[in-house]
Parts: sequence; C-alpha cells; structure tokens
Amino acid sequence: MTGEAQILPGTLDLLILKAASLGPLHGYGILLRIEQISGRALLIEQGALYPALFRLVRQGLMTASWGTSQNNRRAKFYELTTAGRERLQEEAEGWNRLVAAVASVLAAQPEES
Amino acid sequence: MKLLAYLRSLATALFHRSRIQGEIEDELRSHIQYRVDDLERSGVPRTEAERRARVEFGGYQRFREECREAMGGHLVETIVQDVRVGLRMLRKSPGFAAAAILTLALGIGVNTVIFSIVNGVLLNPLPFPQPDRLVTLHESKPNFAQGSISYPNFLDWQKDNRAFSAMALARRYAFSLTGRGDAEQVNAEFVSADFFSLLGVNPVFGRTFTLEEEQAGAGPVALISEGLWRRKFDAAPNVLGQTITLDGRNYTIVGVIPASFHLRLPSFHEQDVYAPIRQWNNPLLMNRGAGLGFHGIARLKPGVTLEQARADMDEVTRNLAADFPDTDQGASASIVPLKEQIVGDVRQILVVLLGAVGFVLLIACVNVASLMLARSAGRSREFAVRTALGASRGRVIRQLLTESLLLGIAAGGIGLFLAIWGTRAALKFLPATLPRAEEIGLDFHVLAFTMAISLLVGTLFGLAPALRASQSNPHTALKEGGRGSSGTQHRALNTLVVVEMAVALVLLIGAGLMVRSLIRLWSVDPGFNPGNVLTFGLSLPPTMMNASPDRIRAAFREVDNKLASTPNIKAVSQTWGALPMSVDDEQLFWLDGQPRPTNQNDMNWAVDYIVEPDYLRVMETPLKRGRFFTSQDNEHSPLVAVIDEVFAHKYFPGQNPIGKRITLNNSGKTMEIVGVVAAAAMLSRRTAAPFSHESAKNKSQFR
Repeated sequence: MTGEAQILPGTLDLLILKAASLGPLHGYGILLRIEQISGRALLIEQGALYPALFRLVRQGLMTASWGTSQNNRRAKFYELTTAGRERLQEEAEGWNRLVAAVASVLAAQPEES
Repeated sequence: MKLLAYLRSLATALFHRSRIQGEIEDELRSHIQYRVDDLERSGVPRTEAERRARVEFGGYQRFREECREAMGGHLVETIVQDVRVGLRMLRKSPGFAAAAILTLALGIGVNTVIFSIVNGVLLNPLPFPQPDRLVTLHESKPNFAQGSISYPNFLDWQKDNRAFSAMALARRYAFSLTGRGDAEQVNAEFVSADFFSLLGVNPVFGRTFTLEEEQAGAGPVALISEGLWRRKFDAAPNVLGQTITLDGRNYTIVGVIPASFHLRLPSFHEQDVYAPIRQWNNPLLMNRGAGLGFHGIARLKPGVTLEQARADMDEVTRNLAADFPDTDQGASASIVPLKEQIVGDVRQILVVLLGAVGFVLLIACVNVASLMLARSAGRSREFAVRTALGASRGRVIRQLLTESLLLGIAAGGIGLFLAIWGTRAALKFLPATLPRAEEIGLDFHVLAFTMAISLLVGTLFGLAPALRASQSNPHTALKEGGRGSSGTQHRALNTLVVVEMAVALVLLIGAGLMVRSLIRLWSVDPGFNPGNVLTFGLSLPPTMMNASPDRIRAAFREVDNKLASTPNIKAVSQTWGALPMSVDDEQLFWLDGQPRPTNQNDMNWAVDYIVEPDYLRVMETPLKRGRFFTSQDNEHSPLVAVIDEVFAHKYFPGQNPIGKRITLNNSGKTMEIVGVVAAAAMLSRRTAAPFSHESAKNKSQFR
C-alpha cells in the first residue's frame, strides 16, 4: 500500500472532470489518465468509475457518445460540457481552499495556538 | 439545460430499457477487455490477466446496478420488479394474503361508506350558486328562538335591511287540484317573488314570479314541478299559459321548476305547486302579530359577514319594535346559515360515526401489521441473503413497502365494491330524515379518499416490519437462520398488541356509550305511539268554499263516519296542526281572570292543535287528569280545551288546571280547561310552551 491513497468520498467526480477536461476520453482512458497524472498515487476501484460517469452525464456536466477507439474498438467517449467546466473550476477552487486550510491547521505550532 | 438533460436521460432510461442495459454491459466489458489487453502487453499470461482485470474492476453486478440507478428512471423499473416479486410472495402464502386483504377491505369499505355520507351531507357545498352566502331567517320571540315571521314584518325587513341582496319567504300549503283527471291534494308552498331567483334556481322553461304578482289583487299564477308537469300535463311543451285549478280557482302556469331542485327546510320542501304569498286567502296574512308558519331565506351581499348581517337586522327589528310596540316588542331576527339549518343535529352524529369507523380501520391496520411482522420473522433469512448479495437497506425496505402497498391497493379495490354496495344499503336503511340524502353518492372525492386510505394503510403497516428487517444484521441472520432477531420481534409484536388493546378498548367504550344513548333514545316515551297510525291530508271540494258552517261540519262528520266504519280501523281523528314534529300553528293567549294584556309581548305563545274526540285513542297519548273531548263538545256546548303536562306545569304550577280558563288572542274566545294529557316529547324540543288540544268543533273558522 505504500505510496497509494484511497480517494476521499466525493472527490472521484472532481478527478473525472479534471481528467476529461483535457479532451474526450472513454472510461478506461479516464482511469489511465487519473493514474498517470497522479503518478499512480491514487487508488480507484475501477468499476466505481462508471456509476460516477453516468451520474455526471445525467447532471448535464458531461456528454457521452459512442465512437471508435485508436485500436478500432467500439467505445463510449466522455466530454465535458460548459456546465461541466464551470463545475470543475468551482470544485477545484473549493478543494484548494480546503487543502490550504487543513494544511495550515496541520502546520500550526503548539505554542502559537 | 440541466433539467432538459435530466429529462432526456430519464426518457431514454424509461423507453429504451433493454437497449440501455445492453450498452452498460458493453461499456463495462470493454473496460475489462482494455485492462486485459494492457496486462497481457506488460507480460502477464492471458488467464491471469483476465482474473486480475476482474478483481481490479470490483463487483461487476453491483456497479452495473449502480449505473442503471445513476441513469435515473431506474425507480420505475425497480417498482415493476418489486411488484412482480411482491405478487409472487403473496401468491406463495394465500392464507396470509386473504386474511390481510379481507381485514383491510372491511375497514376501508366501512370507512368509505361513512365518508360518502359525511361527504354528501357535511362537506359538499349545497347545489346552489355561492351557497355559503345563503342563510335562513326566523323571527325569534320570547318562547320561540326560531319562530315564524309575519308577512308585514317580512316586507319591512326586506325594505329596511342593508345586508342582503335578496330575501324571500315561504310557507307550506295543500291545494285541491281538480279538473285534470282524479281530484288530488297537492302539496304546495306559498313563496315570495324572489324565492327562486335568490336560490339561483332556473325554471326548465317559463319564468319565476315577478314582484307585481306578489301584490294584493294580482291575478293567480303558479309554478309547477317538473314531476307534476309530466304527470298531469304529459310533459306538454305548451304548458305555459295554461291554467291549473287549485282550490277551485284557475291559476295560470308561468313556469316549470326542474326535478333536480331539492331543498328541505323545516318550513320548506320542494313541492308540486308554488304560488305567490298573496294568493293565500288567510284573513290573518296582513296581521303583524300572527304566527302563520312563514320562514325566510336570504342571500348575503358580497363581503357582508354573518355578524354584520345580524347587527344590521338587529337595527331593523329594533326600529320595527319602536314603531309597532304592540306586536314587535321583544321580536328579533334569527339568522342561521343555510347549510347549518339543513344539516342540523346530524353533523355531530356523523362526525362521531366517522371517528368510530376510523378506529375500526386502525384496528384492521394493526392486525395486518402484526400479521406482516409475524411473517417477516420467517423471512429475515431471505432479507439477509438479499443484503449479502448487495441489496441496499433502502432496497429491502422498498420491497417490503411494495408488498404492503399491494395488499393495500387490493384491499382498497375490494373495499370500494363493499362501499358501493354499503352506501346503497345504508341509504335504504337510514332514516328518511337524513338531510341531503339525495345528494349522497360515490364520487371522485370518495374515490380519492379510499385510495388515500389504502395507500396510507399500506405504508403504515409496511413500515414497522420493514424497519425491523433493515435493522437486523445480515451476518447474524444468516448464521442463525433467522432466529437471531427474535428478541426485537417480540418487543415489536408486544407493542402492537398493546396498541391494539388500547384502540379496541377506546372503540368498545365508544360503542358502549353509543348503544346506551340509543337505548335511552328508544326508551324515551314520546307521549304518543306512532305504530299503525296512518296520516293523510284532506280537503273539501272547492264547491264547499262558500257553504254554511253547518254543511261543512256535516261533510267532515261524514268523512269520519265513513272511515270509522271501514273494517280494521280502530279510531279516527281529523286534526289541524296536530301531527307530531310538523307543528307550526302558534297562538297567543292569556290566562282568564286577567285583563287582556295591552301588549302582545305580555301574552304567551303556545302551539295549537285542533283535534276530535278519538285523537287520544289514535295517538295512544295517556290522559293524566280530567277528561278528553267527547262528541258532546260540539258547536252548541261551551268552548273547552285540553292542555299538556308541560303547559300545566308552566302556567298552573302547583294548582289543578281543571276548570281554569284561557283566552286566545286570534279569536278572542275563552275556553275552559277540562283535561291534561302527557306531553309529546317531540314537540317540547321545538316549543317552550306546547299546548292545548282544542276541540274540533270550531274548526270551520279556518276554512
């Protein structure tokens, strides 16, 4: 388990949005991209990706369309909508604020408090 | 946009279910295939790659389910599935299903019957435009909270008030209809001109009365009912302008009142003939102090409240009392909303009944809930298996709720049939006096009520076992084969039993009290025995109108003799105003030995009967003191009267009333009291001073 972290509940959506923001991807591609940009530090239960994708499509944050992948296999490609981009921005800012706040709490020295 | 996207995906999910399911599987499988390919490329042997890909993917079935749920529209699908499983479960235990459904159906059926009646009588608005603006009017006098309004007072009320947009008056009457087949006594109402337009009742054709037709000396006109029009005029379209002979006079027909018109008030019933008030040839009609049984209806002006109307009428009657102290002192207007007047005492009874059957339904629910609970104990293993296979807690609860809703709906359906049948039966056996009975029926409200009850009941008794099932730990349940949670179950069952006992006890006490009141009501001595007593109206032919009193007396006596000589008739008495509960003849009187009071308010009101010697034998009213009338009390003997016990107690307390004398204001005649009879209980409710039985011999004065 060294170097790997379970992702926090609720952050999967953020990761998916981020991964897909760089261009249309199919489900497996999204998984690979998250693994790749996190340096394989984040552990995702692979199947859990799909309910999240369906949910995001239903919320109108992504669109899905069937197409053909590089190795000529039929696959469903996901792409961010405008609403999806806005949501990604909001969530990313919220996440950064949270991280900064938690970090500053953790960095606090006993005598300062 | 979001909503649109949502709706689109919902529609897709709903309408292309199987295709979507296929696509989900395609997508998940292709993911696994990609993974297998990648692993193979990195040197893992194919079989091992396939195994690892599957493990890494996680619970395939679960994610597939979750995908479908995430797509929306999933709810409908699970419901269909739940219903299918639910039906299968119920079919597997037909005994349980039958018991539960029948118990509930009975409860729902009885509730719907009572609600139908409550709905028809209490909740539905009256079938007139803006019914909440309609009120009834009475003149309240000392002794009579809802006494009759004299016609001159009514005319002044109509003229002086500012609260009502219209006001009308009515009084019952019976006409002799001749000249169209057999002569017939038809029930009629004398009404003031505005009566029908005030209610918003439009004639089938023709018109209602005009103000001119209510004036003295106006030509006789009449409205007839649709029923009479069909019966006596063969529904002839040219009936308008034809004449109808009533009491020997020709009335011109100006309109036909629709058969759908129903109105039952103490002083008004829908009848076959309506005539303007002024056509009544009663010499007392224009007497301001006469109590002739007229009662009014009125329509409040928009925005005027009942209180404002009462204040306004107080002012009107105060002014009249100042102008006519002799007759109007102490008289005021009593205003009662029309619906209240019609529904009257029945409201309380119905509400109590509704409460009682509500408890019955509650008991039925508790019964079914305990049945469900007992059954769910045997099924906890099944639920444990489902949970272990990935069914969420909500899913299990939903399944149980669906099953109970199925029971509820089935019971609601059967209950509805019971209700249709029961409402018909109830209407047949309920007292004919139930107000608005003709308006009672199963309608949309009742249907909605039944559905609401059955759904509510389903949720209610489905919830307890469902919650219990969801609390149990699947692991324990599986291990112990469903015996693990028996402690919880016992506690829940105990609670149910306690609740059921409590509700049953309340119901039992309520029912007991109701039965006791009923027994009391039955054992009340009404002062007469209505069994085997027949009543009918009687009028002499119009040709007798101007006959001498002697001839009229002879004609009435002949009727008596003919009836009395008919086999199986024990006793005969002609009466005036002497049928219990239909009394409306009020008389002012004073005790003899005192000077005539200068003011009518110093006199006393009483209800006045005119009867023949056999009246006591017909009604089986006990004679308490003195004697009743005999055939010797005739036109040649001194005037005599019989009073009832209430009258005796009120005006001759502690004295023997026999031999005392009273004087009637209308006729100025003094009569001697010769006897005291038991009070008729039905009367004393409406009149504070039920009174005398006057000998029939001076009856001719009323013809």
